[in-house]
Amino acid sequence: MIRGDFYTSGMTRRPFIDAILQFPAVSNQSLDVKFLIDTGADRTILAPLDAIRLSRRFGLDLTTLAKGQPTTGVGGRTETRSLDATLIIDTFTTTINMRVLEVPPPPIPAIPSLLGRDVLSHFALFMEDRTNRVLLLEPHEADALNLL
Amino acid sequence: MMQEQIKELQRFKKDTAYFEKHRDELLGKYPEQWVAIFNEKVAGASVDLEQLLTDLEQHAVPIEKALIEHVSAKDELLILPS
Repeated sequence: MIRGDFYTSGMTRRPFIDAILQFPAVSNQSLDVKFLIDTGADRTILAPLDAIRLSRRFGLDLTTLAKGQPTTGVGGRTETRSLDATLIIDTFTTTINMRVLEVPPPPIPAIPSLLGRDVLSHFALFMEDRTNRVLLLEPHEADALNLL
Repeated sequence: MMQEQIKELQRFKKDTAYFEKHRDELLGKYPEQWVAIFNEKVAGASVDLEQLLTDLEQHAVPIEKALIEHVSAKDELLILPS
């Protein structure tokens, strides 16, 4: 079982989980990322803040990456780049092809990176505001609950 | 290698917990600014993200490991692209 937490973002408590990303494109260098758990996101998305950290620290020119599918939400449509990464959460590791939101001109929006269903689908997600619990259950743990 | 990553993740989690615990204090001190936390300490703050990153680099704070948050009292509704 992997534990996340409710953290305050803006003035609202939201479910987050800390993870490490490793990028083959920059010799497997790693980036620590605080992800917002987003069951509505089809893919895991790197927000502009984390994209800037990655680009600046490891000299990765994001504009040289292959274009990804644009993201579409209530706020509109945003262009993305595609980037392979290994995601590590505690002892869980998986390889993903993530989307990097194009970095807009300043001011940089203070939006978090999103942990989408490409990763969440490996788990059963248990979230309860009342007890501040954010749990990612592995399949055998979810099965043991005998929920129908 | 995996042990190193697990250890680093535990360190990062302490930084996120530190930020959450001291958020109100940080909001009073650095309103509407980007704040960097590294090893459970404030490593820098600025209204300008690029300036903060430059400051961190000058002080040898690893920007790939530091937690960087925008401290704000504004309550924005997040409906994100997916």
